[in-house]
Amino acid sequence: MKKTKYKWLSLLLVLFVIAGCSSNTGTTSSSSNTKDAVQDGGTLNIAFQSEPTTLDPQITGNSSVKDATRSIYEKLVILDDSGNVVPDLAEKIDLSDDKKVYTFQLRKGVKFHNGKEMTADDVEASINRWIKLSSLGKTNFIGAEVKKTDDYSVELHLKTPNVNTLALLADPIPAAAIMPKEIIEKAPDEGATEYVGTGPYKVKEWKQNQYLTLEKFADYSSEGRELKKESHVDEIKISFITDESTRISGLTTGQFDIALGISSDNAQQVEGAQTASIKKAPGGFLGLFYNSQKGFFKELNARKAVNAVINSEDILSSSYGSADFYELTSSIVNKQFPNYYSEAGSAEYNQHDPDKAKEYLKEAGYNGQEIKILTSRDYQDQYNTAVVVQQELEDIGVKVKLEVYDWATFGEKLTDTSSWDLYPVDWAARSTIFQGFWTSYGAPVEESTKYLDAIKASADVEDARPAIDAAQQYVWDTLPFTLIGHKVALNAVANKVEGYEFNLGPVFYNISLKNN
Amino acid sequence: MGGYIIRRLLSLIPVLLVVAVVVFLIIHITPGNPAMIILGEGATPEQIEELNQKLGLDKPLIAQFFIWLANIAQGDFGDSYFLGKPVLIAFLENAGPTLSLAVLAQLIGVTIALLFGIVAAKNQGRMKDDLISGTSLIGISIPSFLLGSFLIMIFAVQLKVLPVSGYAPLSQGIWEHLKYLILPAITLGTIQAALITRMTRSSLLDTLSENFIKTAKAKGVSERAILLKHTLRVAFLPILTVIGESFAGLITGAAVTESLFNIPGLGQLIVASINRRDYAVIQGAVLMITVVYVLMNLLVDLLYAVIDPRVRNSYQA
Repeated sequence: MKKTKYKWLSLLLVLFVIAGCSSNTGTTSSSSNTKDAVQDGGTLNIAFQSEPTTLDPQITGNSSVKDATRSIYEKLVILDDSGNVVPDLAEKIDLSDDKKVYTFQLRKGVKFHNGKEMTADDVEASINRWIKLSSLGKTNFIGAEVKKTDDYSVELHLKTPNVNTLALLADPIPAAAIMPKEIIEKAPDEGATEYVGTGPYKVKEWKQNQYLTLEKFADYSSEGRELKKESHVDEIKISFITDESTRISGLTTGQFDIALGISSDNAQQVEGAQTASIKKAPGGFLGLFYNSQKGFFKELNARKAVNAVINSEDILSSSYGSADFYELTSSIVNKQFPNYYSEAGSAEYNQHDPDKAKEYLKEAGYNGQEIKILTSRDYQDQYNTAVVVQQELEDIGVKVKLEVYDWATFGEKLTDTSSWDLYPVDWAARSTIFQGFWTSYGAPVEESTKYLDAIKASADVEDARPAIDAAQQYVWDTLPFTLIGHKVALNAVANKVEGYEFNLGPVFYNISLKNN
Repeated sequence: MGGYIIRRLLSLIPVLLVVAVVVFLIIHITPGNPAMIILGEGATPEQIEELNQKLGLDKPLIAQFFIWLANIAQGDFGDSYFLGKPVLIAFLENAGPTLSLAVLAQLIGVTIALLFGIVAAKNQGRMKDDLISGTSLIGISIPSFLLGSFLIMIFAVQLKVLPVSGYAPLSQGIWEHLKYLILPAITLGTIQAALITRMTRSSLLDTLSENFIKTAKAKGVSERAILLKHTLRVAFLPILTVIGESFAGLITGAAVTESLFNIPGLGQLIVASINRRDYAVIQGAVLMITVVYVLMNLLVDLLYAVIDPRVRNSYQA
């Protein structure tokens, strides 16, 4: 009997045990309670989930582009962390009585990264391009134009008044970024290839597939502005790490100071290492979208049936685990943005009432047809939602088929509205109710437009309150989609990072590094 | 011999044609369209149609295929929709890291395999042999991301002697360059070693039972000389085949390992391009990899001729 055979087995087991059990007995440096003065210098290392597709923030809605370009470019206006519009490159803003002309007085002495001073020529060229190319520009600024009135002022002429105008100009992506006129004139529609802005950091090097380095722009000053931007660290190095475990390992070893896109499963591991903490922020909402144009769900009672049976808690906890990582709320816009937060229609939210659902089903005249749910495994939470919804529907006697594809195929299948009935998807967090889901495939566009127009026609955001509530109520009464709840976005920030903020995306200026 | 080489090189052409047709058909038939992905959510059907026209994707499939072929014949592999650069450049940029990684992994793999294989063959049936067989079984079965994560956990996180991820090109210094490649090379090399060990062991055992070995033993040649000088040389041929094939596999990019260690290699490029439906890159990369594969095979066959005079003669025929 070869008893020595087991020597190697036990050796291997010991190795596994050592590696597995050794939790980081972190030498927890007792945090000194003395308030250190902000330290300048150093390199901030960040791990992104994906590489930006371009560094031209005017032409795309990609969130990696938003996060990277936030420190490079500036706009006429900017959003504070409650979603209010605050002047940035504009010093003063006036609105004509007919609400169709906005006059912007520009700040003087603002330098571009190439040394040139920003003037009305640059603003005119930049915003007209944004109106022409960006999705926000194309949908909200039809027929609008910016005209220079003198060297430091421009007028924006709208065809119809829109109370949202300034908020749209302040949107972080696609951003109405101000670039030099010469670059705008040369820039192809697919994306500018020269990256010159007025922000606190400028582009140093972009090594595709690997990293992007930004360096401090010495001639930057946010003196006199309400929202200050300071560049304390000398360099920001953004690495593109698609694998989450590699991002986390890098954070733990100190290779990265910030790691974006942490899933709820790993939040505890990050906190446990005690070298970093998890920062939570509104992560957008998860919704179940109906095909209101063709098929069974053209009928309101059919949509009411699904809405009645949905148990939001079950769905959200299946994807995000603990209640720390999701929010049960009936409002499309998160309560962090009080201007558009609304509790209208909340009675219809999260009913989880199978009996009521069965009644609606009967009224809708369901007679055994198969309901198709379209989804993709590329986004685990969307897939989980589809699975739970399938279960809940089958429990009330509905036949459901799950069609699972990769993301690219999913996008294409969506365009054929005769091939699906439902699909779950999440939409990024925004400070207003205006987003692309109103006009996505299968949505009742004609119906919803009048509610959105009513908001736009209001005199200002406070006056818009009844119209905002009406739009939210419409969503719950007519159910173009069922809002399941809000996600919480998790990012990991090392303890030595000070001044980190999140405002519709991580903000990298104002950050300084503590060296203890 | 020269004629043999020329014949083999010419046979590349029909192979490439078949691969070109197959890869073109598969990716164009697969649902999903690059224009939709480039423009992202919120794109209107008109915008998508416009971009489709610009990229030449609205033409009939046959026309697109022949246009692409004609361009390839002139050496133009087209431009990547996403990277904004020619496919050839993207391929060459990403080939460097993969090549370094492949060479390092293969060195590690072959070294371990020959060592283990020889020890196993020498101690056939005894404990050392069983140990080696067992370990190589684990090596073949273990998924690369598991082994890689394990190595990161021990060497990068706990012991902190090596970086977690990333890549430094050779221009930054040999140690810098190797530092980032050691862990992924061990990951891939271990799996290579497992494959090659088994072949080494069985090939050696086959040869050891040959008559000429018995003669050498009878003559009183030392065990060492028998093993290294006489047996290994003969047994090496099948081992060489496995080495050649596994190296070609490494060259084509170990996508999982590259993505785990964030190495900007071919594997990452191809997987990302597939997800983004970057047709130009996928088609170009697959063709270039086919060329590499065929050339690798040719190289192995030529090495056969170098090692074995019998094979050399058959090529001349």
